[in-house]
Order: sequence, then structure tokens, then C-alpha cells
Amino acid sequence: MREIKTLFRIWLAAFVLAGLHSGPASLLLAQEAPAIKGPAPKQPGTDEKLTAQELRGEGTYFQYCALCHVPRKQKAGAPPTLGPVHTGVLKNAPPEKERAVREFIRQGTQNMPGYQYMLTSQELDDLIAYLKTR
Amino acid sequence: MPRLSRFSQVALLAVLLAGFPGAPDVFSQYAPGGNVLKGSVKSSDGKPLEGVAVSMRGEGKTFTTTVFTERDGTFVSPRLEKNKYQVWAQAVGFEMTKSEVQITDQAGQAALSLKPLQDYHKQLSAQEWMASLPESDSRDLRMKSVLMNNCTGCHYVGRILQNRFDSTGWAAMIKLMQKTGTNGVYTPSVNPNPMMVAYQEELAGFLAKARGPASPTLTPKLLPRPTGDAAKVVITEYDLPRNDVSSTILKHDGTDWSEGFSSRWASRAPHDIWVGLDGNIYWADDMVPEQTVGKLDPRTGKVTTYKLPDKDGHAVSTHSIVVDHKGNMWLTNQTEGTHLMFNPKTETFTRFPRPDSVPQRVGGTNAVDSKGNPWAVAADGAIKLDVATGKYTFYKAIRPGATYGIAVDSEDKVWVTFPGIDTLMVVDTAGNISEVVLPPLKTDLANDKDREVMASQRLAANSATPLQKGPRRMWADPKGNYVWVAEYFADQLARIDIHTKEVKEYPLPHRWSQPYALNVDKNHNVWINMLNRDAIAKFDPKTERFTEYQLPTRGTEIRHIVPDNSTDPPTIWVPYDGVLKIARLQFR
Repeated sequence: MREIKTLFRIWLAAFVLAGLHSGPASLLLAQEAPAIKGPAPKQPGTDEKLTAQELRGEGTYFQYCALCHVPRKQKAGAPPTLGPVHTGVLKNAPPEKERAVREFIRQGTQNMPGYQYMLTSQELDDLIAYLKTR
Repeated sequence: MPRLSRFSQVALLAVLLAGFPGAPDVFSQYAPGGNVLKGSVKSSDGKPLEGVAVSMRGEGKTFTTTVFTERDGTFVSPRLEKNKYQVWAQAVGFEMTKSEVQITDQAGQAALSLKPLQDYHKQLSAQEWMASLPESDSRDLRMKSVLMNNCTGCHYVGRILQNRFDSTGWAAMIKLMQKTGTNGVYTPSVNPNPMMVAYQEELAGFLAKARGPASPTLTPKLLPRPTGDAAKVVITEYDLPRNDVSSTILKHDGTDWSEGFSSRWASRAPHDIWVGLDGNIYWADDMVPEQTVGKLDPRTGKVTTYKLPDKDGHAVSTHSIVVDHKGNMWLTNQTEGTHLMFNPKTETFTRFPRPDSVPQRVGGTNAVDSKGNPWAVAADGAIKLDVATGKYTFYKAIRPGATYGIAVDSEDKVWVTFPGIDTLMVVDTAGNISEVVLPPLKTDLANDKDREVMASQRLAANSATPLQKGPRRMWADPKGNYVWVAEYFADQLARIDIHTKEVKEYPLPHRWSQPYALNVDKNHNVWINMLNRDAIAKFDPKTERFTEYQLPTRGTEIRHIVPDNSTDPPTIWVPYDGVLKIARLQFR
């Protein structure tokens, strides 16, 4: 029924516009389309159970790391991330790997700036605690 | 009870309002019942604090109301519905204080005390960051200008300056940004931005000096807290959470200033907004999946989104929105490069396909003329749709270039800004094209390199030398003789006489504010949003004075502003493109 109504609207719009149409015959006609209601907005923080430290680390992570390391959705899909996605990077990791990741964040690489001059040791601890949950 | 005459109704209302000094009923909102929240804010040494932002949010609600303290440190909220409220007070240099208050039929009370902080650099607004950077000599000042003009075409400077890297780290970031578009997506195959290439070494050196391993401790240069008229405002901020992520990024949304600026990872939803004839706020969305246009009901905070699918089933992207006299929304369809109409009554979109004979795409911003026909910027000119016939017409500027702002003046002439070449194009009702060239920027900061870069590059909207003004967005006084232009890089407001084309310029109260867009209300006042400030400004053309209103969120990154002329005085609406909120400013 809705489709028929839509078709009727399109036909009606075309008819009305054709009646008003005074330009060259090659002009295209206006096309009416019903709007699709989008999904309801999600409320923040409804799907996680993190400790206070992990939550602080998550804030730091999204503030400084997410832009290059977490996939972003945009209108026409998700562009590739610039750096590696960190899922599982410190899950059950041995202490030496944790130390290596910490040093990596501090020193940076050719393509990533080192964060040693801006993150406090507490912020770095929080960040590592959060990375273990990813 | 006999029916009251209109005069009696007004008189009765006046009597009722007089009974609630400081809390007029015109601000009552959402639900009947309830009362006001009153209180005071002092520093921990007992002195009253003026201009402190006091925010309150009802349990289960998606909006926050903020007022500012008076000279004696007291505040009073508008009438609030009965609910439990989280209340918090903030001022730069002090630790945020929180409280919880129940609002019933009786007025609520809150006495808040703020403790001074030793290190509060994360609370600074982007303008304060910029003002606090070293400028011991003219070379520093020139580099500050190079930094602003190369980086803030896409984002405010706070996103950069809250970081601290060595010169190698800064160089890596600049290299990345040279191939990153305004949508924040890095594209390896594109040519790097030539102006950023020209300045990359100087920029990395300056940033490493100002925000590097050996940088001196920041001495913050703070903006004054609101006082007088600037504090007589009620601000309601509505959440616009995305429909695709319930990430914690949305919790770090600039509400708590001490968290610093949020990431751009999930930001950028409402680019432009307009007030519908139905009293709802509609926004154009160029980033979030599955939505082409959104609607906010200011009475409840309820958000509804609408999607128009493109040929692949993705939501069409829109950048700007204007409502015509019938209540239809005109949008710039970025996906298809066309004008697009949305009818909020029938909840339908109408496409107006552009024929192959008009290859110019509809660009970002738009305006509607007195006949109800939408105009938009296009590369090198402007593009009009005749709604009755569906005909598109392109108008080419005398000098080609990148365009950004557009306005239709009170005599139906169309104006377009060319930010890279500091000129405006004018199309009269007969289709004749002329131009206005802004007077050159008076500066002694620029050097030979800047002049060489300016002479050798095709200048666009988002990167500029210290020699450029960058006229960004503009609007016309609908009942006046002027169009107004936001000179983005020059921190100036320009007034242009629509008959004589005479230009008069007014410097904004603070350098590094970056006026981005503006609008003109029914009282001829000009309202300006500043990308590098979490504040908006009012300019009164009669007194030629600015009043600045501070916003209670950090990292707002506002790109548009619109008045609701149905109220007295007009209500002002702004979209926070940086942190997914829409704000309403009502004046006391």
C-alpha cells in the first residue's frame, strides 16, 4: 500500500512539474522519495563494564589513539585505519610484551609520534590497562 | 471565568513574571510543574566567583541547562521540571565541583565551592592555547599565523596544541595531514597539500619549540569570565549521539573541561542547522552513516533521523540546510552534487536531478532567494535551481577559485565568498556578475617566502599564508542594506553595503578567535560563531560593539549559527560539529 502511495506521489509530482515545465524538453523532472526513518541514536557507555582505571585509559585511548587505530564509519562505508587495529594486542600478554608496547607508545615510529613528552606515567598505566581489555 | 482581553493577558503575564525575578517563565520548558534552582559559587577561600558556568541535567534526560553566576556569585536557573538533577560548576583554573539536587514545587538550593588548581592546561579553550604560545618576537607571531592558517581549515587548533611531540613527531603528523581531507580520511594516492608542504619544516620546528620536549611551562593567557550581559544567558545543550556507536568517545564530549579536547574520531555530525516552521531543529549531516537529515524536538530532546539512499543504498550526505517560506528544507546534496528538498510535514525528500548540460556540482553551502529558489556555491561560481522548471543555471565568477559562503541580500542579489583570493562574487537579478575585492590585510608579519607561496599556488579555502583574510561564510541582513562576512584568518567581521559595495571591517575582541559563519536576526544584530572559540559573539551594528557568550562545552567546533526570530529577543541555535550536540541560547 505504501509503495502504491509512493508511486502515486512520484507520478503526481512529475505531473505537476510537467505542467509547470517551461524549459527545454531535455530537463529532468523532480523525483519525490519517502524518507526512511533512521535507527534510534545510541546512548553512550551502555555496553561496557570497565574498572575506573580502564575507563580513564579508554578516555585517553579515544582522545589520542582512536583516529588512526579504530575503524571509523562514514556515509559511504569505513575507510581503512592508518595504523593496526589493537584488538587482542595485550590480551593475556606476558610482561615483556606489555613493556614493549609501553616503549612503543613512548618512542613512536617513523609514522607515529612518540607520546613520552605528554602522557604522564599514570596516563600510560591507564592506557595499558585499557589496551588489555580490547 | 470571563475570557481575558489580550491586554489583560499581557498584564497578568507581566505580573506573574515580576513574581519570579531572574527566572522568567519564558524560559520554562519541557514539562509543567517544578521550580528553579538557586545558589551561589565561591572559591575555597570564601570569595564569590562571577561568570562561573553552572550546569544541571535531569535524571534520564539528554539535555543540559547552563547559567552563569552574577557578580555576587549567585545564580538562578530557569524553571526546571520536577526531577533529580546533577549540578556542576566550572571555571578555568578551578577543579569542577558537583552536587545533586531534587527539584520539586519548591526552589532547589545549591552552594558550591571551587578549589583552585595548580595545573589546569587541559581546561584551556583553543583560543587560550593559542594566546598562551610564545610570541617573544615577530618570527613567533608569524609562525602562529602560519600554524593557524594551515591547520584550522579543517579543525580548531586545540586538537593540535594539547599534544606535545619532538620535531620528528610533529613532522610525521604534518606529513599525515598533507594527505588528509576535510572528512579526516587519509588518502595515500592524493597529491599532498602544496601549502602545507611549503611550510612543513618551519611548522615542525615551531611546534617542537612551542609544544616539544624542551618547551617552557605554559603561562596561560586566559579570557575573562562572562560578566554583565555576557552572563545573562541560558544555554541548553542537547545530545546528538550517533546511531552506529555507543562508544565512550561520547562520554568524553567536552562537558568536563579538565579532560581536554575530544577526538575527532566520532565527531562531526551536525554541520548546519535551521529552525523549522514547526519549531523543531533540523540539521544537515555529512558524516554519520544512515542519516541524511536529522530533527531535534527542543521540548523533549527527542531526535529523529531521516535517510535518503544513494544508488548504493548509503545515506546521501548533506552539508547545509535552509528553510524556505513554505517550511521546506533545502539541502546541498554532496553525494549527487544537486539541490535536495525535504518536506518535514510529509517526511519526503524531493530530488532535483542536474542535467549533463550543467556539469558544475552543487557545493557545500546554500541560500534561498525571495522566489523560493535555492542557490549554492559551486567551483568558480554559483548554481541556482529554478524549482518550478527544475532548471539549473551556473553563474561563473570573473576570477575563478574555490568558493565557500553564500547569501541572498534584501534585493535578491546573490553573494559568494572566495576565501583563497579574498574576493566576493555578486550576481544581480538580471544575472549580471560583478565582484568585490577586500582591501589587502595590513600585516608586517609576512616575509618574502609568504609572498612567494601566495603568488605561486592556487589558493583554496583551507590553507592560507599570513597575508590572507579568508572570507569564509556570510549572510545578509534580510531587512537591511548590508551583507556581513566572516574573515576567518583575519579575525575580522566585514560589512559590505549592497548598493555601494563599500567595505567596513571590525576586528573581533580577541585574536585567534576565527569567525567561521554568521547570521543576522530580525533586529539587525549579527551573530557570529568562532571555530577556535567555545563561544559565540553578537555584534550590534548600532553601537558597533561585540558581546561574547561563552559556551559550557570544550571543543565545540561550530560551523554554523541560526536565529529563531519567533521569540523576543531572538533565540540563537548552534550545532557543535566537534562533539555531537546542538545548543540553544536564550537571553535574560
